[in-house]
Amino acid sequence: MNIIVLVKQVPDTTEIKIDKETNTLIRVGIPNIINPDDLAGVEEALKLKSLYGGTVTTITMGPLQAESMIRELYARGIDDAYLLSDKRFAGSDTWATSKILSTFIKTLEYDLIIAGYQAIDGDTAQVGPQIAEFLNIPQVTHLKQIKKIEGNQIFLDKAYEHETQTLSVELPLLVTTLKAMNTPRYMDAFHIWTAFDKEVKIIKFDDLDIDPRYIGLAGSPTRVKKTYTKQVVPKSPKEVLEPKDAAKKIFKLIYPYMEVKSQ
Amino acid sequence: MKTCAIFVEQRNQKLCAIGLELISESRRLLTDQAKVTAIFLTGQVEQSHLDDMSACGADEIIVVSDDKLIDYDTHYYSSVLSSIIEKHQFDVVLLGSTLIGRDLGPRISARVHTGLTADATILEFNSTPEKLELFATRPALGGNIFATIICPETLPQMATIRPGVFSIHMDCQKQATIINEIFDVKTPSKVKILKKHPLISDEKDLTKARLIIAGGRGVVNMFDTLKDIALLTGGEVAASRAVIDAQIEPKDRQVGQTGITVRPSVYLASGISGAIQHVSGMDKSELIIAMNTDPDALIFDIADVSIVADAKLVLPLLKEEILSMKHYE
Repeated sequence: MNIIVLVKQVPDTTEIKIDKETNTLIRVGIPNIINPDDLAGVEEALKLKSLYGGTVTTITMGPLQAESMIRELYARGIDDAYLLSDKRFAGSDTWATSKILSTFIKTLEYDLIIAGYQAIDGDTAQVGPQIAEFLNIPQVTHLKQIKKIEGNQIFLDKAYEHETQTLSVELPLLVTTLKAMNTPRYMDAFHIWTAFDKEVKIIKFDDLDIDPRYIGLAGSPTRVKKTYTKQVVPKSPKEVLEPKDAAKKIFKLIYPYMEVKSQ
Repeated sequence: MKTCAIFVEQRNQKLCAIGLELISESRRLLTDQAKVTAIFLTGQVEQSHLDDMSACGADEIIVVSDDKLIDYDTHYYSSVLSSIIEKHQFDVVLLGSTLIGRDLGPRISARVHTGLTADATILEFNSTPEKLELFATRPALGGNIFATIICPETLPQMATIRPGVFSIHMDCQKQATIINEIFDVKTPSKVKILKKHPLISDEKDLTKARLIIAGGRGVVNMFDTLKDIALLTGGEVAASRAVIDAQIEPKDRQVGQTGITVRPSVYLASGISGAIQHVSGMDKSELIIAMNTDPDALIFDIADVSIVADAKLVLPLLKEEILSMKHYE
């Protein structure tokens, strides 16, 4: 089993706040983290490796600072890591990002590709399916669990809004994982010890057989026309109430909407 | 005339509301300046489904019916939809930002080489006889900012749209033209459905609740009381992300950008600070009652009734109020 996991380093968006005076984002001091859905994917890959053997390789696209994240992944037990980093990749939307990543993946051997369902800085959930399309392999997004692998068949559960389906799919396959799927393991002492001796292979534009018209800002079909933070004017005056008065007030307001069930 | 096409989703032969929401909203925004075309993939055509799409304002409905389309399958659906797109040359294609829409949309955008905006919550069009432009606005960076995305060079301009943001209006009298396309996918899917497990829930669907009793970080230990209040009032319990992350409530109770969007008659928000992440999922509620100890809490910016009080103390008293009322009835 050769498993590729796609990983992205993202700003921890839960830490981002709006400066109420200037109505702009406060970006200073926001920590960078491994995208949570991707980290669940790494854990899933390591579990599969312990069951079926093989290798776990992570691929990341981003600035060189993402190397710190890759060291952490080595400390968690991955075998190999590539960082696709080039000024010409900058400004890529999901289409161009998927084009670059899939072009590189075509040079590797793999049975299974795991991507996080979505990244918390973009929430698009597009890169996984787009890579599967460019590689012409099947996809199962929003995975619930991988049950087993037998030969070139993988058995898994996929969650929809209305039902869960148990599926069998022919490998190679791309799946997308969710944070809720599993709890990532701790880094262990041995892997931490060796993490800094491992190689992070940097892949540049010149290493890829890709049409420059398909990458970066110029190769991206979408454009951000404008961004804004929501301006709000409070709709109602604030009332400071004693708990008893607050309870009475809320009761009066919700009373007309209550459905009183007969006992 | 320029065309806005809408992929209308069915699950187990039931029409999904989001398809009708998108037809209604596109019709409303475009008036008669552009054509609204529904695309419907199914295992069996039911007249009532077509009537509903007509009533929402579809000018035409492209129908593909085949046994292989009964259940969603990425390979069959993406093959059929992309060949329809190539044949009909739409200007805009909209899908619901559902698990199916978010599986299908990116696959199509990669195949036909066009841009796809994800999970938009605001739609705007610029419609002229020469051009139909789509402006799709979405929350970004955890809901902290909004970004308007365009797709200026390639067609169709695609977007997935969050369910529950727009309402359904079934007031068009005109019958849509039905266009039957044949299912023509030669290669088999590599995915087999072995078993389906329906989601069994005794709780009502949150999106259909009239009264929502919601709690956040400030009442993280009060969910038993919130549930009692919901039970007594016929309401439903919802939570902000902090509560879900703390694993106090399951994910299907999460309202907000990474959860679900609701628009009940009444939304009681207790101990919720009102980060945009949460607010974007409930600010269309008809009456928002907010209770928080922090007078600067952002939730008060959008509340219809703003109460500065400690919800931990108020909620047990509210439960007593409701119980005493019940006692007399």
